[in-house]
Amino acid sequence: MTLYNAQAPFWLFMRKFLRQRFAVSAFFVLLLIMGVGIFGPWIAPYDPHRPVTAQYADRGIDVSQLTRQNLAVEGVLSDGNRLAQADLPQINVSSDNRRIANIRRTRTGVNVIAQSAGHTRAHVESGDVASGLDIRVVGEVLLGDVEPGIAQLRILAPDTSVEPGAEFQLDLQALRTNETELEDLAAVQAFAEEHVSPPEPTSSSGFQTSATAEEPEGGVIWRSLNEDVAEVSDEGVVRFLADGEGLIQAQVGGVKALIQFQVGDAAVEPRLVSLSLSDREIELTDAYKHQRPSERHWFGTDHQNRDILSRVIHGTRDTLMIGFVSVAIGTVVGTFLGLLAGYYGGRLDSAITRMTDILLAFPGILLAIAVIAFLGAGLINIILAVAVFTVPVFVRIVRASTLSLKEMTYVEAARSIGVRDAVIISRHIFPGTLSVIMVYLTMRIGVAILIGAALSFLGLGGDITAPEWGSMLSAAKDNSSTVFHATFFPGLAIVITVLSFNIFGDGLRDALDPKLKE
Amino acid sequence: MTTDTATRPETAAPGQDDRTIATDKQPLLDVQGMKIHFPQTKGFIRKQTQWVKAVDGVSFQLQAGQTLGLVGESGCGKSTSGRGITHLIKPTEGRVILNGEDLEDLAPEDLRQRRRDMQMVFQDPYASLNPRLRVEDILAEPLKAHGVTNKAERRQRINEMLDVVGLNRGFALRYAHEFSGGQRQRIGIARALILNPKLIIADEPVAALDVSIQAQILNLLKDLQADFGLAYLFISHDLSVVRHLCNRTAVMYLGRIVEIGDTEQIFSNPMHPYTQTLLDAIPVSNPRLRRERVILKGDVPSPVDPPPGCAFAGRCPEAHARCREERPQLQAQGTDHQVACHLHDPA
Amino acid sequence: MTSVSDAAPGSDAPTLLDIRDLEVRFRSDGREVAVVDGISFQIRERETLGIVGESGCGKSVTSLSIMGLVPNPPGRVAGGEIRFADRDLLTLRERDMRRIRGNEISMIFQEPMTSLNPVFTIGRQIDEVLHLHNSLSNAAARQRSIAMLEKVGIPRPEAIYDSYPYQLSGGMRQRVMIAIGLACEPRLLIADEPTTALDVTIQAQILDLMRGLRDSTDTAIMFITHDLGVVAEMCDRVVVMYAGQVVEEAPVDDLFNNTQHPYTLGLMASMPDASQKKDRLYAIPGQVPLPGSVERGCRFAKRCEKVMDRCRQEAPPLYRIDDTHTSRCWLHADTHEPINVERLQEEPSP
Repeated sequence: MTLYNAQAPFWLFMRKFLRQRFAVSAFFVLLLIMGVGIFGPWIAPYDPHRPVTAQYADRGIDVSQLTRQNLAVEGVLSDGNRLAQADLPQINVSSDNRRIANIRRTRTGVNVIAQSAGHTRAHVESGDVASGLDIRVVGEVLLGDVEPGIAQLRILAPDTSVEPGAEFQLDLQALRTNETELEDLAAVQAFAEEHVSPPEPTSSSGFQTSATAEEPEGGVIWRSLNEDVAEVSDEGVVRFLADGEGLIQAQVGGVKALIQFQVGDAAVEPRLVSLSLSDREIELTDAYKHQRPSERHWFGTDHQNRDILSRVIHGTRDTLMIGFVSVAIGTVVGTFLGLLAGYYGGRLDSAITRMTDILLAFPGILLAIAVIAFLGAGLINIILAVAVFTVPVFVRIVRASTLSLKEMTYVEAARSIGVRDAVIISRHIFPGTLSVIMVYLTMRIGVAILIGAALSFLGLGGDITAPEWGSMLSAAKDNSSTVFHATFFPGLAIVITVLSFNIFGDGLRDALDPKLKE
Repeated sequence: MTTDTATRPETAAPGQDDRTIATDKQPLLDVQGMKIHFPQTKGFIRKQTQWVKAVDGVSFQLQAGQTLGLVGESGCGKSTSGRGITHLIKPTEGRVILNGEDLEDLAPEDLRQRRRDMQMVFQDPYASLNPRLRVEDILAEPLKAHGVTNKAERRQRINEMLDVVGLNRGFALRYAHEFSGGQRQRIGIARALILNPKLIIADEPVAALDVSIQAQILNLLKDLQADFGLAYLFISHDLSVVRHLCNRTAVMYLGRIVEIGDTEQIFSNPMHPYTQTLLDAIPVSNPRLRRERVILKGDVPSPVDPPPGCAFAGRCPEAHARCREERPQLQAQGTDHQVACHLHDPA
Repeated sequence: MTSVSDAAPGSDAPTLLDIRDLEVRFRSDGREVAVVDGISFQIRERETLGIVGESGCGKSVTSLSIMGLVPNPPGRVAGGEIRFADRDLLTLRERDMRRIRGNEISMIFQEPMTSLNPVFTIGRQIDEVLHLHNSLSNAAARQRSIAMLEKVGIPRPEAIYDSYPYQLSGGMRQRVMIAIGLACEPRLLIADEPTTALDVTIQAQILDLMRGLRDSTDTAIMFITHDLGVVAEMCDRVVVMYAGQVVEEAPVDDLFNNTQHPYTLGLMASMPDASQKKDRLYAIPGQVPLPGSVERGCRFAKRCEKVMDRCRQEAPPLYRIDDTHTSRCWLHADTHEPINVERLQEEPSP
């Protein structure tokens, strides 16, 4: 006697099932999902109930590294020497949009602090010179490409040592935040006219900050800081009037640079002509809400800054619980009633069939809502609600299948032998219904998960903060126009699970179909 | 209706006759005036309108060790009669007496116990064996149902039975779907025999089999009867098979027996016009015997509210006015030969 | 020549269907086995040929391959030729084959319950066949259909024309099937167990009808059955098949009264007879072998009473008993000449 009998119904079924590649893959996906459901709490990278920022400390991630950045500020002197920050005159910092990013002066430089997602510019000013920088804060808002602004200006003159009466055109070069250069005055002028004026904040907040309100004009602004020695036209033509130190300032938006001239024999000290920042383009993360999918958070974070991957993983258990337990209850009750109704017929059959008809007359979700309304919200009640609407489906299919099996000659043979009804039902009829039960069971789990998710989505799941796929969708739905990942990943989890159950069920049906030959 | 039946000669008179003849020998099976009517419902509210009179007053006796053939065309009620006798379908009227016990009087559990003595063999050997079970489980089922709890005893009995029906003992572990039709029918016969019954009701047991296999099974049935002293109620549409196997033959038409008696008498001297045409319709066994024959017109009429007179009157070549008005009753025409036909009614 | 074959259309009638070395293979469990293994026979015009055999002998597959209806996969016609009125049906395109089906060759099946579409009236189903193969007006088709129904002995044909299949009994349905089969006056009618599902008295009616039609039309009939009695009633010549091969072919009288092959003899002996009492039937022992399971030797050797050593080693050729009678058995080796010697040489010698 061997364990493996090639003709045994089980092995016939296995051979047919294994031939269906889709169903087999779906089966492995389901095994994976079940594994996730069971081992979820150990797999999940984060606690699904707390904001990730509160958990960064535990795993050695410094939140400030994400949300702040220090910049070193260096001055450039007219003789080409550099001036450390400590020696610079009073530094002023300003951000075009403080709601996106703040900028602060520190002892060692300046510090940019992300506030919320968006794009803004900031300026660092020291004395008569100023530099600009672009700040991107990555967060819930999708950032478009923004034209890199001007970071630094340099004024060029044919000669910086001139006699009074001399007159010439100054040239201007600009370094943009993406390290490209605008080569001459015309290019800078064109860029300034197009992009710098009017100097409104790039974010759409609508507020004008004080920093930008002071500089209403666009284009390149030329200014002489020492009108007695030199004057400069709006086009940048400088004319020297007397000996002394000629100082011409050029300004584009909030960025300023100086050029120093030695007019005549006057003695001049080297002056600060521009500011250089260690970074001109800064990317920061808004780590407090709706983090986008990243290496740290594969599925991103939600509106309360909870890790979505962890929540999806934790939610698997509840979701599968709803699917399995409710369908299991529905199947056991439905199969039992269906067998009785089909085998005995008569008044018992009428009673059970009427009840089934009434239950089936309600749309499934409505029936479930009615049950919840009766029992109150909560996971267990969702399971019961889904079970209640699973019962009539199984009563119906098991009854139909029993009716046809009852007419099989082998059942009649068993009756003629004198086999008891209970034995006939359990040995001859129930195994015959098993194949259709198995198929429906699998498919119904998918439906049950969907209904369970729908009930949670409608807020009938009790704890709306619980990591459950339906409630996650529900919570994320308000931001779904801007935040895509918060609804996408829980939704994807539902789709994959339900789809896998359905494909697996289809495969089972084909494998259990006796008409389908090997 | 009930009182009417009791006074009818068809149930009372011949039955008493038989009993007086065979008082020393109580029949194994005595069927008296069995009727099986099915309600036919119609329309949305399922109003019961008509009765399908599938079996409409059948009486016969079967002695131990004998074979009675029940012949007729489809729809004549022969299979329904078989199920009525085993009480798989409860007869609407009449009595089925097995071993002197009226099955009607038995409590359900007692009836279940009595099934030991009467077993069935079915027509379709593919449908009558549960494909999910192994031969061993199929054969163990009757034993379990009737209290053979010892596993070793069951196994020994199964092996014996496999030997008896000519199957390899090794087949016990295989599944029914692995066997050919003839082998399956042997399994079906083994299942019927394993409880040592006295009566086997065989419902077209060879109709689904090939000619060469049919001969094997018929020979097996004959051998088993000789070995175990079985009585067969052999239900068949095939007159050749009935002649080969049965001591007595009953010809059924539309729920009634129209002719019953010794097989040799019926085949050599058929008296009812229906029996005559039935015999005439059998294809010849040699082209040299080709002949002109009386071809029966029309089909068997519907058993729903059959005509008042003789059910065969509409197709009978010799029907006359009386046949359409009065239903003929079975009349004795010899030592063991009864016919229900006005042609042979002395009156 | 015996009297019965003389009564049939003479053997000089032109050949209508000529099957040569037909081989049909079916794939099962990853193995391809020959279900029909090199059969040859002819049907002459206006002749009724019986094909007899038990289930699994390949008789139904043979008829399907004539109609070009072998289910592919798993089956395929692997060799041979089927010549019908000088065309090889196996090489015809599907379009031409469709024209032949129903028009020149038509088929009636065993199960009259499932062969008719339950949602159309009887008339519509006959009209459909007429329209498919003839350009007829609706009125003309109706008239012709009613004439056909009358021809197959259906009472009140106008009423039956408008009724649905469920309103008819099994015998009536089989008559309708025959009417459909004969609607286009085909040259060959293949009847696959047309009376098996019917009661004896109805079978007698249908056989009587078919005999009448055979005599009144020019249609040749290929009558497939397992029932030797039906063959004795209906056929002019008989081909006996066993396990995918023709084992005996003879005029019907010869087959019954000068039986040669042990299998045919066994079949006849195992039939119970209503006209005489046999005490015990002869039963051919064992089962029909599964296709492809006999490695070598005669396929009947295991069940044969007269088996010799040679039978287990070598497959026998067909022997010519006389002009019209052949038998595939080594018993004839000393007394008769084998035919199709070429095929014999292809067999691997042991």
